[in-house]
Amino acid sequence: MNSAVFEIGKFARLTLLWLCIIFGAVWGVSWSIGVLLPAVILSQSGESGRFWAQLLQALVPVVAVALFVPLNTCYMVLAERRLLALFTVRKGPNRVGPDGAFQTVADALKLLLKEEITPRGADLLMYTLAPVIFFAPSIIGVMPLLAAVSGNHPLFTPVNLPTGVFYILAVSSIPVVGVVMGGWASNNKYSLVGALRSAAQAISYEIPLLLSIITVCLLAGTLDFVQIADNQRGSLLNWNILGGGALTHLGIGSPWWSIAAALLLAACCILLFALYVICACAEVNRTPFDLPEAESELVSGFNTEYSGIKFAIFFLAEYTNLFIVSTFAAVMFLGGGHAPFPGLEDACISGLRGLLAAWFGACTPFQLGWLVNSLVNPATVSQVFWIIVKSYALVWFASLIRATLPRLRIDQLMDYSWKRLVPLALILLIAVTFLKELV
Amino acid sequence: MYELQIAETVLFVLVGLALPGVAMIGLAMVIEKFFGHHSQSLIKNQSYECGMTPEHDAYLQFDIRYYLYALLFIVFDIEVVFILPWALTLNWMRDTLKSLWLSPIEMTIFLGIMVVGLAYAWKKGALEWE
Repeated sequence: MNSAVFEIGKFARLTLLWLCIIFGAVWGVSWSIGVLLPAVILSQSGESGRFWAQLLQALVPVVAVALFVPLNTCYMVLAERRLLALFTVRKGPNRVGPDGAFQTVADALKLLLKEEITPRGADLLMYTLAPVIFFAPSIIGVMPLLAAVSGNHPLFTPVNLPTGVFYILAVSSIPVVGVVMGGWASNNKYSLVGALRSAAQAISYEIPLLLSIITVCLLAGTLDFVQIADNQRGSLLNWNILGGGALTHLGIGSPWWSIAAALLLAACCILLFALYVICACAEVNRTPFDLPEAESELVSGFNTEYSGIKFAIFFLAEYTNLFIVSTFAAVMFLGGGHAPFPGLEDACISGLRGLLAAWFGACTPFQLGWLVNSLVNPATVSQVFWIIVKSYALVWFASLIRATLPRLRIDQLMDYSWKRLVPLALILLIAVTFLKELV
Repeated sequence: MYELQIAETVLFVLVGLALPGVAMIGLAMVIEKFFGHHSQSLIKNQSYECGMTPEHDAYLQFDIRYYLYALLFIVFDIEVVFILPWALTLNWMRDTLKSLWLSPIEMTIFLGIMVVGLAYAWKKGALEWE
């Protein structure tokens, strides 16, 4: 027992270290490109430098995503390996860096320099394009999430996307094209079977996923991430997982049918969240549904023939997709960047703001106080903190599922989607519509 | 205003796709090209099928068993396209039509037709994976 506690402590240390690396790097680089350099340019060359300053600011989201995706994947793979080790009472990677913190960085470097082998008879164009098509959607999917993560911080909002949810849903159905291309082009029967299975699975689990997301949009009445997150401001009871504020309207004098409807609505929303988690696991090919790469039957599925950097890109995209669905769930169901208890968030923000004001006060540009004040924005820090806690908790939950459940058979998989999840999703959609009118 | 938003979105997608995605992958492939190890041989380039010698190419006729699922998928996907605007205008409909139940009941009828279709497919055995 003691050793388990010890290992959990080590895991927490690793997580903290990596969070500092990821967010320090991303925020530091974004800040120097988006705030410091433009300020320097403007102070040196005045109005003529405005174009370059704006160009640099427009590049911030792109640079932030390009830095964030690989670093985040390094952490997620490491966390998954450490967690699986914890669940199966092993040590896990513990040699490279403190407690094995840099194991995945070493792996990534190794994959970067490894020899690429193209199988004989492969369709070269499709074989090369497949990882690109698999990877690009995960990059363009992270971008609108950045705005939600940073609480609509002007630097990270490249474009006003009032239909962000729809956009993410559209983008997240592209990767399966890459999978089918890769499987078909590698001239390997196992890859082909894996790719076709992947297509079958993706089309089956997309329907309940879409229906559950639409039900949440129906509750929120909008497709805008930032608005959906802001609707859930306040406390745990306002989160969409508990009916999006249905419970907060209840008082002592509420009629019995209103109370019953609110409770039923909360129950429906919890079911909806479970439905979303199941479908999201299937969409990103996580373990109970990892038929496309079932290593006990298909060698490695659609990516059997990929080696070196192309395999690394598949790997990167897979974990980024997992992060996207987790963050998506955190925004849609778990209140986005808002704290679970009333007052906590405001206390954090005003405390941090007071601290900064007391230490530095108002300063002219390029003094220490100005540098720190423009670097640390209390509202953004709080948003980022809460949303990252929620989405990494969901990522760890996915690791727990992987350690717990065995793989499904393909006919069970299809049955489960079409005969259980689709009817459930339809029933929940209708139930939530009527309950929403009753509450 | 909407045209502007569409243009912005298209630009956003293109820049998002072109800059980080393709640049990162291109950079990685260039690094591999210059610093990686390269040697080819007939056996090494064989496709890996559990160590057995591959009998023939994998570009063979393949029985795609799930085309019935695919048909159903298209029907439900289009249904989702219809539900989405309805879900977003639910509050507005309630306020303008002054009727609490009209629009939910309409959607129930619409979904009822879909469910009848699903039940028919189920009964006919389209949802059995052979």
